[in-house]
This record gives sequence, structure tokens and C-alpha cells, in this order.
Amino acid sequence: MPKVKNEEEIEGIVFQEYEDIELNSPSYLIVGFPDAGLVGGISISHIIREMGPMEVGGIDIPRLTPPVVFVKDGEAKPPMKLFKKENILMIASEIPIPATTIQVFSYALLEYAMRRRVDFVIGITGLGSGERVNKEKPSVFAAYSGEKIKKVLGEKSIPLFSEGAILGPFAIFLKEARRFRLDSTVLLAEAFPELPDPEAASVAIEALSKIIDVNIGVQKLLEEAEYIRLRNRELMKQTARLMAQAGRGAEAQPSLLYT
Amino acid sequence: MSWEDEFDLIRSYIRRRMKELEKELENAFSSMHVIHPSMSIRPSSFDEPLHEAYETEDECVVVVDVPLLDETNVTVVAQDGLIKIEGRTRRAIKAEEIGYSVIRKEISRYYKEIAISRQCDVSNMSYSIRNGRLVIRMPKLK
Repeated sequence: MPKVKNEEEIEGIVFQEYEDIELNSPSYLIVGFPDAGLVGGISISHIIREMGPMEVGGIDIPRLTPPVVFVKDGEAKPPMKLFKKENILMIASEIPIPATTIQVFSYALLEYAMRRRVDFVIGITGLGSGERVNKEKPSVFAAYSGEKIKKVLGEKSIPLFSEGAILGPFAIFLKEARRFRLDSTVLLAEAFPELPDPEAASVAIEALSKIIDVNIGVQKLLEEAEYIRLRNRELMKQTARLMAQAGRGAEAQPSLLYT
Repeated sequence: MSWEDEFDLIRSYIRRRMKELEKELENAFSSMHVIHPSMSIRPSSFDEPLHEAYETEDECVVVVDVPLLDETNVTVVAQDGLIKIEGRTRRAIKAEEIGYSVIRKEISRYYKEIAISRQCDVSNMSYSIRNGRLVIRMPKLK
């Protein structure tokens, strides 16, 4: 494992840092997991490739069954990696979050973000939509919690998610962020829920670029889309099974209350 | 109903619930197995594309993910409640090109059989291919 400088255990989740992490304001934590259409995972992977951040840490879930570690060039690393570039932290996960771990993991991540003085937590995810099949370029919407991020989304003309339920870790990020003195938003890109969807990831990244004021090109992502889809077939199968357990796929359903 | 009967009912409910919980736990743990490109996969799954299917009020839609498909070399046939899809890729793609460092297979063809609901009118099936996705549409039988 890389040499760990700082280690913190929050709610049983272990955060390891390979160097001291300090962020200038406005600071961001960008989070994407393998989920609907693998939008979050593909997005984060592309953002890291384009921005070239430093790998500054890792996150481990010690009670994960079966235990898993990822190896690169012989070196073992935790299943989630922490990257940093200037005022932006990013979390890249090699695994979908198991339904049984979503609660503790999400609260631990919010606590960690607060301790590192993050201002905005930005999640990227797919929104399973029957309309996706009819669109060359899918739409992206934002849900938010907090006045500062509301203002940013308005200034950058990011369309808001009009109505529906959000399930999984991003639900916790949205409803609990204020208790951790954070503003939070989730970018939801229309996607094929059970097929890897790099095109959906590209529209999410375009929206993110506007929010954080950093130009992140998506041309390469679109050019390599078919290879990315082939590469991620097995991960998509695994993820689809976990999403079914977590009840994902209900986002687009209307609310019972219509007032 | 006597007390003993009621206890039997409770006992049988608890036994049933315990079995359900065991099943749920088994499912939860089995789905945690992570497969990464560098790990082994069943060779039989290599040629089989992912798909998703859904129904609207008027039609049945099946989307099959067939990246790098040669659009001039694909057959889609509906037969006995199944849609059979066969096609070749534009070129053979070695497993190592898409991140599999251990296995030595390649993808040069796709084959998939998908069960279709009886409500879907396969005799009026149509399909299109865009960006390596095969979209099959069938009107719903009235």
C-alpha cells in the first residue's frame, strides 16, 4: 500500500491520506460511483484523465464482504481513490456501493468533507429514462440542497430536476449536507440504466464544467465511447444487480403529493 | 382457535421469515462479488451483449448494446417468443484492448436470445442501429 501520512476512521470507514490535504475556497468534492448507466464512474474516470489530479489518498470499507483490494503495477490500493487538483477533491470508486453499506459510507463521506473544509459536494449519476433511446444527446438536471449552490446553478443555467425521488448515497448527500455545513448538488444525466452510457457521462461533465468553472473536454470520451462500453460490461452487470437491491430506478416516478 | 394453534401459526411465520431472511442475505452477499476486467470471467459471456427492455403504453422496446457492430452484418429474427440477434463486429477486438490482462479471447461476433412478452407484436417488429446500439421496436397487441 502507498505510504499513509494520515488515517481517520469515521463510522467504520477508513480514510487514508498520502499527504496533507488543504483546500482553498471555493472547494469542491466531486463524487461518482458505478450506478445507473455507470454515469458516475465513467464521468469521474474521464475527469481524472483530463484534469490529471494527484492521487492523494484512498478510502476503504474494512467490513466489505468479500474483502477486496485493487492492484496496479503490483501495488495494492483501497477500492476507492482520492484525487486532488487545486481546490477540487475527487473520489473514484472501482466498486458499486453495496446496499448494506450506503448509509454508513454516505454519512462518513459527509463528515470527512466537513473536516477537510469542503464547500460544495457534487455528485454525478445516471437517471434511468425511457426517453434516452430517442435522444442523441441526453438531458442533464440538477437537484440541490443549500442556498449557495442554488445561486450557482441559477447563474450557470443548469436545468433543475423538476420532480421525482432520488435514492441511494446521493439522497443522503442532499438531505443531510446542511447538518455538515455543506452545500450539495447532484447532476442527473438521462441514461440507459443497465447499459454503460458514456454519452450521458459527457453531458454530466459539461454541466460540472460550468459549475466549477473548469473546462473539461469530452471529445475524447465520445470518440472512445464504444470501447468504454465494451470494457465496462461486467461492471455494469454487477452494478445493475446492486441497484435493484437499493431500489434505484424509481427516480423518474412522480411524487404522490402534487401540491 | 386454541392458544396452541396460535403458537403453531407464529412458529410457522417465524420459520418462513427466517428462510426469507437467509435468502435475502445470500443474495446480498453473492452480489457483492466484484468482477474487474483483470479478473476472470466466464468465456461464454464474452460474445453476449448487454440489453435492456421496457414497455410503453403502445410499444415494446429492446435496446441491445453492440459496440463496434458491423451494421451490414447483423440478423434479427423473432421466433417462438424469442428475438435472436447475431452480428459481427467491424474487426476482432482483443480482450487486452479493453482492459482484460489475463484472458486471451477476442470479440468478433455477438449472439443473444431475448425472451419477449406475449403482448408484443413481433410480426410488426422493426429495428435500427445507432452508435453501436440496436433498438428493436414492436407495437403492442390490442
